Amino acid sequence: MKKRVKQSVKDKRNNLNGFLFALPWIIGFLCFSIYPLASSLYYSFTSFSPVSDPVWIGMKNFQNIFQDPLVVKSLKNTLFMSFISTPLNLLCALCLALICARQQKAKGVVRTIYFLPSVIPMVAGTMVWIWMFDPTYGIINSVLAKLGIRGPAWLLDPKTTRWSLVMMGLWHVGTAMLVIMNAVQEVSSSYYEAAKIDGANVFDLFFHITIPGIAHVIVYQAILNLINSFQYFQQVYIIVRASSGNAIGLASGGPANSILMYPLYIFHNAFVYMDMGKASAMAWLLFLVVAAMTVIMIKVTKRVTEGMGGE
Amino acid sequence: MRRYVAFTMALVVASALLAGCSSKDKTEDNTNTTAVSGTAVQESKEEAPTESGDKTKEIVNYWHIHTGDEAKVEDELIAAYNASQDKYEVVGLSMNDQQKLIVALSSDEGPDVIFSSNANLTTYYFNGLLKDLQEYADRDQIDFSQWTDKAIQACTFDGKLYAMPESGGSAIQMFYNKDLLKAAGYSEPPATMEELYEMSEKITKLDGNGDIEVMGYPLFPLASARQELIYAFGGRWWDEEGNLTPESEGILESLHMNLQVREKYGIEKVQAFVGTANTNRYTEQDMFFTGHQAFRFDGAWLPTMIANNNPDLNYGIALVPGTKAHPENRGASRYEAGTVAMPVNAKCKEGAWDFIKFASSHEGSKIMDFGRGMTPARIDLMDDPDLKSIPGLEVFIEATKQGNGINYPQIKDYAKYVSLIDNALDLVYNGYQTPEEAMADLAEQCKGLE
Amino acid sequence: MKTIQYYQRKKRVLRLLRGSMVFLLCVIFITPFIVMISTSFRTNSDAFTKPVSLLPRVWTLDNFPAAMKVIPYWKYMGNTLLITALSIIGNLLSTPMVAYSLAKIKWRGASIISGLLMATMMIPYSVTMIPLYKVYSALHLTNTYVPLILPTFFGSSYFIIIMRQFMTGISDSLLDAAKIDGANEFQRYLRIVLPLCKPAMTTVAIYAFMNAWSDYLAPMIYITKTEKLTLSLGLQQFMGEYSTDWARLMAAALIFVIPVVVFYIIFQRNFVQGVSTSGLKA
Repeated sequence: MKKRVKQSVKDKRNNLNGFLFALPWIIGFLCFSIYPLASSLYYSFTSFSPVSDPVWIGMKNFQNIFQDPLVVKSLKNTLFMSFISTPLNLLCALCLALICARQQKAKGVVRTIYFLPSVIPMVAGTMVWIWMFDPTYGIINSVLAKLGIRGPAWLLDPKTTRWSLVMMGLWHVGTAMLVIMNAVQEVSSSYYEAAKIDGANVFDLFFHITIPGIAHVIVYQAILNLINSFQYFQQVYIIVRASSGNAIGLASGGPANSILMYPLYIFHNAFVYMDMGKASAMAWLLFLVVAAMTVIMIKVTKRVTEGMGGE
Repeated sequence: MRRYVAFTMALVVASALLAGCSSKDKTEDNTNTTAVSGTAVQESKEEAPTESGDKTKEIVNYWHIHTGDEAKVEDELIAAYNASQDKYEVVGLSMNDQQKLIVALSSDEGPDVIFSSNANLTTYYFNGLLKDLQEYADRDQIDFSQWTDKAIQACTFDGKLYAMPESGGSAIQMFYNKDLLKAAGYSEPPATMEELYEMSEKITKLDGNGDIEVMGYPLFPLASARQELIYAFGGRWWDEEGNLTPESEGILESLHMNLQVREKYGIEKVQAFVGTANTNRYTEQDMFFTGHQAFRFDGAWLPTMIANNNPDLNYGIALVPGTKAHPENRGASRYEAGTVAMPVNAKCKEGAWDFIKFASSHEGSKIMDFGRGMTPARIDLMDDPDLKSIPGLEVFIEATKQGNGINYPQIKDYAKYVSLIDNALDLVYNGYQTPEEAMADLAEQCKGLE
Repeated sequence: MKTIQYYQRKKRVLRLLRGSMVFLLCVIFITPFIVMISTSFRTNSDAFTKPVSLLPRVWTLDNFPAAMKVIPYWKYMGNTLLITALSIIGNLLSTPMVAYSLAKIKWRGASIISGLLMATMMIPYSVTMIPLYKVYSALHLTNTYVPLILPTFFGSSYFIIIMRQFMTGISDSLLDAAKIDGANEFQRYLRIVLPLCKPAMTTVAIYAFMNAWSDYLAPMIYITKTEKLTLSLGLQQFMGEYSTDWARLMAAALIFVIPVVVFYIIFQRNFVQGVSTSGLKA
């Protein structure tokens, strides 16, 4: 009896302490997540410009969104980043990690170099790439020319713009690579030894030991990158601004809007077309999609890690 | 599994909180307003010293978009105004970033007067950012016959005045490289697009790899290709009533000729040339300045830039050509006006109006037009000898007098329409769609525009 | 019959192959930096001369003073440093506290908050952008650094996750001992857990630095006054005005990047640690 009272007193005190310690985050959560989410939801049923007050217009914004050809286009572009760029990125990270995990010589230097692009501020990094992509004076096409290949116009041809973004993304592969590399190195070498004695070949080792050992890390990276891909904004914003100068009133999405990403289009709607209601509605749809994706990915992760029998 | 449940629970909790919070936030907003007035008081206190320092002068904040030499002209205008009276003091700021301007307009740190092109004026007006100036104009009995009709038209929305013009004219005409023409055996610039095409064919030069070294046909700048190159054929993106007409015949005709050039030299080669031209525009390496471009549809600012970057360039200026069938299209160009307007939440409205009047007056306009080399919006400046002495400006004034400048449509979604047009043109230029297909798609896409 | 020598040779060939591949990739990864540096030391007309050369044909230092003249470098550097310092402080105050609550206190909210941490990470910036912008502008806080700094004092989910992971690894026995000695929750946090968290704190501080230094969107929305701009915005502004002068642009980019690279090289170990424990990107 006494014990239980003591227990509940302790529980209460813990609850209070826990709450107090977490208070900053709780306040921040209410102010910087819940409030904006809620008001953004409200705004999505209204019409307003930066100087006017929101006026309720019901579902009109959503109707507008589904009829807007650029919404569809921007969605396609964003999905390209999510389902082509992201997996490619991960694949490269995996390959690099496997190559570098066993690299002994100059290990530190190699790691520094691979990781350096990831710490460079986006503005500067993107600017260099824009310059390197110049079809005539850029380094990429001039190297290709030396190899006898005629390089495309990269950021000018709607067919190659997104692939240019993929290349730029690969430059930032360092983070994922480091994480995977760490995981690879953590897979105990005793497993390998044991398997080798059993006569396993390289492929067996890879598919039955390495992959299960690092599956959880890869899936985690996949989720994170996927979430990030839906927010792909800065790079395209910088590219678009660079090609149009600060041209006033221009809401460009690159050649044939081929790099008009969904968040960029939200930004255009809010700050160029000044239709903040529609922008809010678009943002909410984005939130729902990202939330759904995350839930699905988490479910898949569970299955993958359980299915692999790895712990 | 349990964690997953917790996760969904969390989302549910979050959405429940959403509903609960929105009402709370209302009250929070109320407290905000008190805070607002609180800071407002503080701010006026902060401003007090400047006021007392200059006793009677009220500050008028003026934001323009000009940089470099053009910003100096703005400073000249401001200095002239401040010297002309002692009631207001105009403070200028160069802000050439629209997104920032919009943000500032919605806060109360925005300007009292802004410089705006007529194209942006449309966007500002339709989003309620501009103060209606009609009452001021009526009160001061402004005589609008001092300015060209087109200029006033550009400043008027739904019958009300929202800005005053400083400059305005047929902004884009044809620059041509005399040496390149001469080498190809021509002494006169083309008067029709057919002639221009023929000359271009002779002038265009390729290097050993088939890369374009000298480009004849004016595919660059892209903005001119979208506008003047199409207006020359009588094509219009909108009609007088503001209806969108992307399938107009002149557009298709122009695009066919455009595509003919591209296909002749290879779409990729042309794109590479245009891309580099775009990167280098207005620099020392500008394709026209360096003699790599024979014809260039560009603005009255170009002669100054040429003088700064390559003063030896032997060039001439002529009206944009018409076509054989429609020679009357010669000189057709977008009508571009430089205007001054007042944001709705300008703080010093009387001072703002006073400055706007000055900027559009004979004295103010002359400073701006002379300094920037722009076609005047005022009729009494049209034949001003000082303005006429500016290299090349006479051609632009001449074109403006002809009166076939094309005003931007006064529709809400103008900016969006332009972005859709660019989208369609990119598809055509890269050979992914025929002009007919692209324009039919465009017509479909812009059905939802207002 | 395969001999030991055969295996050794095979191994050596493999190692050589791997080594050269690693080297090639290093070259590719480092090329953009070389381009940035070499372009910033050449004249713009040199940059636009065919054939393209990797190194300047004529070396010049003129781009740097020119770039520094257009971007008031030291002023913007000061602004950026101020924001960076305050946001590091903010994060270091809030992050360990919240993480402690999640990792070391057994209470009902811990699991809920842990779930919500992930959830908040999915909220796109574009969703919160407009409402927050409206609030800040109603509060007259645009053109101040408050919108950029305030959120850091309430903890960022990313950092809290890193920190929680680290704290979970700290043995409870120390805490239990302190409890027996009569230390209350806050004392235990301050005297025992916090000192042990130094490595994680460094990681958080580094990431906070990186975020604040390269933050772009928030300053772009909230800061309009020229004298209050940050370096990343200054660079972007520069790009708008001189979008064609690549030599100067690269010079401006280079002087913007150098502090970060220096910082990275000094704290490399912590960077790597942070990334590998959290799997999160700066």
